[in-house]
Amino acid sequence: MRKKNIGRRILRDFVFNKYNYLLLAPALIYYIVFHYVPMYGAQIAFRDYYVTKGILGSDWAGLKYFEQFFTSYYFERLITNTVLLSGLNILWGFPAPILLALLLNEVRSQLFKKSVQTITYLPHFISLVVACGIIIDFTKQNGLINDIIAFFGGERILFLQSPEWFRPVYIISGIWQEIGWGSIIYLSAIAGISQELYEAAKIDGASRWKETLHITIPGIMETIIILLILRVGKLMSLGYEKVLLLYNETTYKTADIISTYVYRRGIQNAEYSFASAVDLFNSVINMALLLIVNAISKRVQGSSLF
Amino acid sequence: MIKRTKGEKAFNVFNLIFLSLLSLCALYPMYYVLMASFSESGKLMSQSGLLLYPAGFSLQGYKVISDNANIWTGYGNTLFIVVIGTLISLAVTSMAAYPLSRKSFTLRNFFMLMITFTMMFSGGLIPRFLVVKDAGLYDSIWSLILPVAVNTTNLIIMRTAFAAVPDSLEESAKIDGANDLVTYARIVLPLTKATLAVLALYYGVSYWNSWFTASIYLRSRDKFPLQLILREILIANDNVNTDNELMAESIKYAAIIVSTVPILCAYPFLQRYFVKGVMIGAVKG
Amino acid sequence: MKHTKRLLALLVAFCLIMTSGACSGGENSSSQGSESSKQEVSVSSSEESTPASQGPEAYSMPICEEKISLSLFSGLDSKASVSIGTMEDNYTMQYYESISGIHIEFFHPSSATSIGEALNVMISSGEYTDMIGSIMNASDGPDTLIENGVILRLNEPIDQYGYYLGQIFEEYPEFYNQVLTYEGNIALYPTSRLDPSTRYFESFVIRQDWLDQLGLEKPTTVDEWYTVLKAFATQDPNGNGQNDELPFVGNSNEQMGVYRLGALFGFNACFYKEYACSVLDGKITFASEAPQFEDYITTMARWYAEGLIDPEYASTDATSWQEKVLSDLGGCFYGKMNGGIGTLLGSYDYENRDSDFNLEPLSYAVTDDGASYDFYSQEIFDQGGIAVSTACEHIKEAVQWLDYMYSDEGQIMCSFGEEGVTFAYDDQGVPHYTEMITEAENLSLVQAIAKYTMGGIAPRMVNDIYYWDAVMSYDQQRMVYDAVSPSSTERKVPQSLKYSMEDQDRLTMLMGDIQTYYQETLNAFIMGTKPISELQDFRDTLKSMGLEEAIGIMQASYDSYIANNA
Repeated sequence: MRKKNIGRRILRDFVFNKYNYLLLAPALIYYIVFHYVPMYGAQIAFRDYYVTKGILGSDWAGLKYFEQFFTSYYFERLITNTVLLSGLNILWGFPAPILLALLLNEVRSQLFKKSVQTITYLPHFISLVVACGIIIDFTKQNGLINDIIAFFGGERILFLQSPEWFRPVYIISGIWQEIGWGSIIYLSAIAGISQELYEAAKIDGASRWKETLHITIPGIMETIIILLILRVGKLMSLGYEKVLLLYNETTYKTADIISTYVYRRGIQNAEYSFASAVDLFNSVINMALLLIVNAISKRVQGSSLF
Repeated sequence: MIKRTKGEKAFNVFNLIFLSLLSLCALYPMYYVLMASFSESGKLMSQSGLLLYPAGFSLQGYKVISDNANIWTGYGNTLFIVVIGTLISLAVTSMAAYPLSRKSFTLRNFFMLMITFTMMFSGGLIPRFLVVKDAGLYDSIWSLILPVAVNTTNLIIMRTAFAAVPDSLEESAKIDGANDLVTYARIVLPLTKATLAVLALYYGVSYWNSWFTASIYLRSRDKFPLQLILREILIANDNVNTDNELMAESIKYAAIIVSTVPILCAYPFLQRYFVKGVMIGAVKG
Repeated sequence: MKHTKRLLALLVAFCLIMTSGACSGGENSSSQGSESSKQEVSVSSSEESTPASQGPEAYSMPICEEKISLSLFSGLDSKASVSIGTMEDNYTMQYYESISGIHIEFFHPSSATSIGEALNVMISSGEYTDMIGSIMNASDGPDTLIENGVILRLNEPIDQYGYYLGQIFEEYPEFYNQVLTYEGNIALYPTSRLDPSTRYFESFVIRQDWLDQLGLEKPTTVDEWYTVLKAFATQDPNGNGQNDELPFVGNSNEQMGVYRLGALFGFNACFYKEYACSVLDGKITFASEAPQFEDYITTMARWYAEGLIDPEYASTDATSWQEKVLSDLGGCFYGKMNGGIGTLLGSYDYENRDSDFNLEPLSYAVTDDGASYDFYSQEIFDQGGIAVSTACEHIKEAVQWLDYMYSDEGQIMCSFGEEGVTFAYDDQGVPHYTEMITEAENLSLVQAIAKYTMGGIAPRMVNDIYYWDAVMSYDQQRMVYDAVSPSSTERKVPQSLKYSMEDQDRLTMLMGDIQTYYQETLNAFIMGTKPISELQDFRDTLKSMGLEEAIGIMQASYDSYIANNA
């Protein structure tokens, strides 16, 4: 009975929304062909994968590779490091571009505003290898930052060999590189806010602080929330490249995260099945986090992905 | 003019200083790269501390890059991918974002979930390669565009922007007899120019920078995009273990200049869409 | 698309028939080889350790009267890609084609991704080239590739057609043993380092000018090392009035760091080399279990504390490492003959730095038992080579095409090209490049060599000594061989230990966590963040991670290696 109803409802929807389906069709085909068809490849997490045997021809391994990961000597440390590095990175790194966008919004001189925008977005385009080379150069024992510390009478710090400094270096350099690029989306959202609201506020005699608080921020809230949900949904899959370039054996204690561990084992040693088991584990956690944050935001704020 | 309180004035000063400092920090790395690209490799390597002017002067880095046989076809290919790819991506993304932003679209949550799911789970390199090959895209320049035509994050951003368009506008359009296609093209798209500009930038930059898929999906060197060729030059240059070749450190930096300056120029053109007040005209008109 | 697919299927079927015909003589032994269990291996491979008695027949050029074309998957060397887009444009390849009658159609994967990745993609697509280079980079081992019909077992084809390689195998039986796989297969035409001097290309390197200036000799024992490094640290050899010298500079790349110093104590502490194992009294011994280990970490910790080792060695990347040497801070390091000595000598800013900058290689230190030990030289088989795939229709021609590069003329042809065009012999019979190469416009010497010949690049087979000599710019580079080769290699774990698929997987898996723990803790010992008194705890933890099982796997493989080479 109900099934029939749903079928009929979809059919009616199809007729009613025919243009909507038409608009959606190219993207739908794209997702099916290039994402859903290849997805059978995820099975290699449950198989002893050999390239020569192919994905479907390799023997089933059950949960062997998941077990290997869960019983690894470093399992707990990897989870802790990943969650902390990624979480702190969101905590500090996520608001930074919003703040920049709000500050830029307060600048009256168009020339200055545009210059700052253009300049702050430059570091995004410097390849990670070079950017990390600059970071290493700045943070070394006789580098610029240590020179400044020494000038003020402080003790020189071996930033990249101290586990307690790894996270700050990682996060601050991340903000430095991405703040301008990240603010672009918020600037465009601010541009979308209706100018009438501001004019009405001015008539009411609102200060600029009040304007920001009551018009600008609520105006871009939807964008903020959506981007935050997406960001939290990637908590467990922090990329390995930057960490790989900045860490070393002496900072493993705080710096070794799941993706670097998988890089060392899965990519360098070509343990494909192991690597995809870890990936799958990460994806499940990410998906769960995304659904949770989405539900919370739906209830509290009213904006959500679905 | 509007009166300003003392607090606001103080804030303005602070704001200008803070933003100037931030710009300085952001400018240095690019400046460093520029100076390093004109430096002599030997001097550059023994240089430590701030690099305020080139260490020695040499155009060797640029020479190595421009001597490469494939560099100009690479530029051409990249230009094609960026222009055509961005157009296709913007079209497909915005078209899909429209129904997904309509509350009247019954299955929108189902489709959203289906699309978001692909952000988390993927089949890996080899199954994707097999699909690309079966689709007849192997060793075709389209293999760099079609398999990455839609970026899910961008789709969601676009949808968010569409959802922010006041319902009243569409309702009035509907009353005037416009169907969804017309509403999408005539009402919603023009109102979200700022977001479209951002997405054009996001897509353009990602097409501009892509090299990995090209290294797997392409065989013919005359189809290689710029970044793939530069990467090969860099890797060759890093390969100090096997050869007696003097490593030209400056190549690394010249490659960044060669590969980023054109795309950096795109931003100022997009900036004009970020001006406030796009909405007013629409609502009034 | 569909059309080509069908054609390909036909081709594959056709060549399956061909191969089964061609190999019918050797079929029995081939199936025996792949089915033989672990115990039988030593027997079966000792049986095969002398190549077939009647030997392959001699052949002469051209290999085939009517021109044929073979495809070859092979990386395009960066030295060549500067000037040519494919090796088909390489002068020597064209010359070889004209004398052999075989055209090679190259399939060059992009060098931007690892060649293993490109290879895996090709294998999984099921469409193979006739010959496949860099086959050892595939994620599946050679036996698995043969078993699953990707590449051919070459034992029989070599017996039949491999006239020159057969001779080389007889001359160097250890080479033959290195090439055989666990199952007794020959999976590829191996690239090799036949001349001993081509097996040595790295060593410790010291600022010879500093030694001269301070009136010191090259150190030969650990104690003398200490004296020299201490002098570097305290006597201001760079003459800038500051104690800013970094006597030993390492870099965060584990291959170049302080781990190498273990060799001075007579054991291997470098994990990337044979999992930090050494052969001590016939037993595979992990670094932490070696009797020298405690002495090593104690000494390193002392050197580190006294500033004899760069305090930042663990976070120094390759660029800043070079910077430290070139700015007169670093005094001693571990480096490559070319990338270390050659590059640094060539990059030093002699004009503006008032210095007699000079780098010379050091010999390994003599240990307490009066011998010095080398763990880092190469074997004859350098783990590279070209396999023939099951898609190949012309096995005889392919094998002979590869084989000719092992003949004396073939070796010279690869590295030097065509006599009278790209090279000429001098009175002593030594080949020299002609002006076509030495005066090539816009190209450095090695780039020009790679444009016109196969010198130093694939698909050549033998690392040719004349080529090596031709491209070295400094005498200090040539000194590496004399400095390192006298050291004994008896404690070095052979590079070509072989494992069954299961053992290899298990070993890789166990060593994963062990590597992380070993390297992390070793650094803590050296930097003094972990007291040496916790050594026992360190050993116990390693045991709990399955170290003994891993070493057991290696020991078994080593034992059969010894039995085969006896």
